Amino acid sequence: MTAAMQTALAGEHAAVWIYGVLGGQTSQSAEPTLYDEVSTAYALHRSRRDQLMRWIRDDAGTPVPADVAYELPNEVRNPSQVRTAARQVENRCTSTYAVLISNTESTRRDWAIRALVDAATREVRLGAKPVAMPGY
Amino acid sequence: MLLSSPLRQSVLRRTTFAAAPLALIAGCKWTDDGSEEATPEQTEPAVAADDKFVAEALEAINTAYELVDHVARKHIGLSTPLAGLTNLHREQTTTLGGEIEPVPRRGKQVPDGDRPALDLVTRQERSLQRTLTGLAGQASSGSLASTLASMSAGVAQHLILLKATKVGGQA
Repeated sequence: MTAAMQTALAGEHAAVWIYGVLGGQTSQSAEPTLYDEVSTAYALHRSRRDQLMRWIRDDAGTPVPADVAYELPNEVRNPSQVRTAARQVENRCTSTYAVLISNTESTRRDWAIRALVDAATREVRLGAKPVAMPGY
Repeated sequence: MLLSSPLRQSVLRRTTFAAAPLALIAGCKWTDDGSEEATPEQTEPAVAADDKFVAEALEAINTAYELVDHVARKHIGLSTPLAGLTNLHREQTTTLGGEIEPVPRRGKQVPDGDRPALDLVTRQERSLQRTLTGLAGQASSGSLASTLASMSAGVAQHLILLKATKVGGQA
């Protein structure tokens, strides 16, 4: 279980870093909807990162540290590119949470299911086409 | 309600094949022919319970499919926006090893107006999403839990599009 949580945590470290960059590239006045989406996602991923760290510590593990920097999925010079990058982040999260779901039970599994659904729906709000089984 | 033996085998075969990467991570063992070896966590009662969950999921998906099919036939203007949902239900049913078998709808009548009909579909899909989420939380097998959760997420994605569907010039 801890390995899957460490993988999810590594994904959240990357998501937090990338959303931080995306927030800096998004104008609140010119793109208010995108700004809100990016800001909300940033806060949520931080929250999930912190929760995963708590659980790993609860299990007597050592949370995997964040890297100094991460590679952006693509250039982020305009709103369209910001959306594309954000979709990539959420898409990766759906995969890691699908794995986490298969490795958890009860409260932690329910939490991972909510995270998977949230990432999948954000993908669509950011312009992705829906799929039958996100993260599968 | 347990799945019939051929269907159960089909479900196991399909879910095993499709979910192999996830299941491997979960520590499950897989034989060369792709069948699943029960791990200590997957006792016979647990497998039987999972069969029941798969059957419940298939029933819920088929119920949703029936309504979407009826609404799309009655409201031609909604057939295009609802096509994605029809495909979704078909794909998810196939993944679980079932078959879509539309039967005459005996429950609620389809409303006459496009908007009320779309609202009814939305409520049904929300119900389906809740059902899949609940079953994912209860599944004994990690790979089944992941499969059902992914299906729930797929329905949730389509709910976003349903909300944005314009009917008769309305948003």
